[in-house]
This record gives sequence, C-alpha cells and structure tokens, in this order.
Amino acid sequence: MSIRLKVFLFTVWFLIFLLLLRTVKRKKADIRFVLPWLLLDIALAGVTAFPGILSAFCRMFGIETPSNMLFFFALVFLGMIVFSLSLSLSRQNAEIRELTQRLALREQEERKAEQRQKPEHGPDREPKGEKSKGEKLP
Amino acid sequence: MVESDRTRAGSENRILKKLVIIPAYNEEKSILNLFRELREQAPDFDIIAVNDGSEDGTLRLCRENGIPVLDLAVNLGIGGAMQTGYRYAALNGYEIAVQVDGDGQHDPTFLREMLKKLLSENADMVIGSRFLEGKGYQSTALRRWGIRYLSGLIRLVTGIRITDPTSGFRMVNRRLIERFASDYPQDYPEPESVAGLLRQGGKAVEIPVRMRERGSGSSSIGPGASIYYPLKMTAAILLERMRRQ
Repeated sequence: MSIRLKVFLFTVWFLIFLLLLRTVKRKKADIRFVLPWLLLDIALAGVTAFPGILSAFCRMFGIETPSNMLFFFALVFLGMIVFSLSLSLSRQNAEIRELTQRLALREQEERKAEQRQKPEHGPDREPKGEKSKGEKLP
Repeated sequence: MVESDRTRAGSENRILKKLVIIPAYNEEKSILNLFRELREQAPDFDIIAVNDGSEDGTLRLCRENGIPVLDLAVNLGIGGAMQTGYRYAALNGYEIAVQVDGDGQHDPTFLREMLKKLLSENADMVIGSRFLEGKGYQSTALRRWGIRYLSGLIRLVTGIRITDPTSGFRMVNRRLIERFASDYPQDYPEPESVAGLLRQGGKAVEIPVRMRERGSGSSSIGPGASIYYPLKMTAAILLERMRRQ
C-alpha cells in the first residue's frame, strides 16, 4: 500500500470519526446506536495501518483473497447492525401501540366522567355517558 | 333504552353485556348509516367506535351522534384498533364483543343469529362467512383464491375447516375478549387469530352471512400487499403453531 493511499484513507477514517462524534455530541443520535459505527471506523483505521492483519486473517479462515474476506465480513457486520435496528423498531412499534391505546382508553374515560358531571350540556353531549348512545341520530 | 341494553340470553336467564366494536378509518360516508342500522337491528348492544387516526370527519360524526369513541392519536392499523376495542370491552366487563367494520360491509341484522349460535354452541368465536351459502358480495377472484388457500392452510395446521378465515365479522366471548385485549396480531389479524384459537383448543364456528361491497373507503389490503399478504399469513400461521406449545 503506497504512502499516498494510506494518507488518503486515514483522512477519510478520521473525517468519518469526527462526523460520528459530532452527531452524538449534538444529540442527533444515541451513542448506543453510533457505537458500532465508531468501532467499525477504528477497525478500518487499524487495517489501514497494518494491512498484514488482513492476509493473516485470510489464512486463518482459509479465504483466498483479502478482498473476498472483506466483502464477507462487511456483509455480516452490516447485517448485524440492520437486524438490531429491526429489533429496536419492533420494540418501539409495540411501545407506541401500547401508549396510543392507553391514551385513547383514558381520554374516553375522562370524557365519560366529564359528561356525567355536567348533564344536559350542549347539543353534542350525551347526558348519561354511553347509555344514551345514538339518541340524536338522523 | 337502559332496559334494552340488557338482554335475557338463552335458557340461562342471564343478563349479558354485549358490545359492538367498530374499527373506523376514514369512514365518514358510511358510519352514520351503520349507527342507524345498529340502533334498529341490535338495540341491546352497546357501541364503541375506534377511530384509527382518521383524517376525515369520522371522529366528529361519532361525537355529534353520541357514539362513544376511542380516538387513536396515530393510525395503528386494524389489529391495533381492534385490540383497543377489546381492551375497552375487557375493562368494562363486557361478556360478548363483536367486530362490525365501519365501512358498512357487515350487516347488523346478522348479530342476533351470531349471538344465538355463540350461546347455543358454547363457542369462543362465531365468524360470519361469505362462502357458506355463497350469497352477497363474494370479493374478487384473486382474493377468493387467497382465502381458499388460507382456509386450506388452517385446516392443515388445526384440522378444522373455516371457510372464511379473513372475515372481520366475528363475535367472541369473554375468554377471547380477555385474550385479545392482551395479545392480538397486528396486520391482517383475522386468519392468524383464528388459527391461534383453534390450535389452543378453542371453538370457532361459522354462520352464513351476506356481506356488502364496501360503500366507501378502501380495503386495508392494498394492491402491493397481494404478494406480501399470503406470504406473511403463511409464515404467521406456521409460526403460531410453533409458539407457546
């Protein structure tokens, strides 16, 4: 690897590192979600500094060329990150559902209680809660 | 009115609390008509509408007409909306709950028969089926084919034949109200919940109904879903079998 290429790559990894840190600092992203990307960035810098690591790993796993190995591990790593996002999304989906349902149930309770307190109040009120349902239907 | 909320049921002479749950997403054109029909055909049922984040006047129409409504702040889809209705039913001590879609495709005249069937067969769920007698709106050919496939799949997994597993027109007893309140499938919940019920030894029976073509609004199953839907249902029903053995 030429010095020129190394310098170029280090600059890229460094800029990405700064960018990642900035998003955390500005609270645009949670450190928990940025951490994998930070680790990936550091690992890439490590490989750039010591390219010998790659060929050593290749021999270890019996993979023919370093580029194949990189593709494989990149896929696995990105897959892991995306899947963890799927899990997180599912959990949040369930949380939003629970909150929405509770809010709707509570609002309805409050409305019913309110209408019981002030009977015969306005044309669109129902005097006895839901018991009088539909009495003003066309 | 207060008296008619209660009904003597079957030979047990027991008073049953019954609830119609109306999931409604943008149904301002059809929902008033449905309220009127319910008042005429099923005055002994209480009503709760679930406004699933409609962008039209659905919520306003419910309020103006004194229909109690659970207003979901964001759109949860049919599964989340129905679960809210079941939670309401569970909280308020209802013993029978029936889903009647806000688009008017479910005819309230059948509620009486469904109730009779539920009580006489001591079933957990009564499903209004379009296909038992083949009368009324029969859906499109593609969907009928999909429904037949689901029906076959459920039979394979549970050994029981349900002719219309996608029907949302279904009445359930207290046991299922409680179960659905705590756990209900989210998208396309109907076939999955029937399969789950049957596999756990519950009893689901069907009665023939005539369904109407939706007066307005749009199906929760869009065109892009026609490939996704059968795949998802197959996975869901097979996974259901593996879960909670």
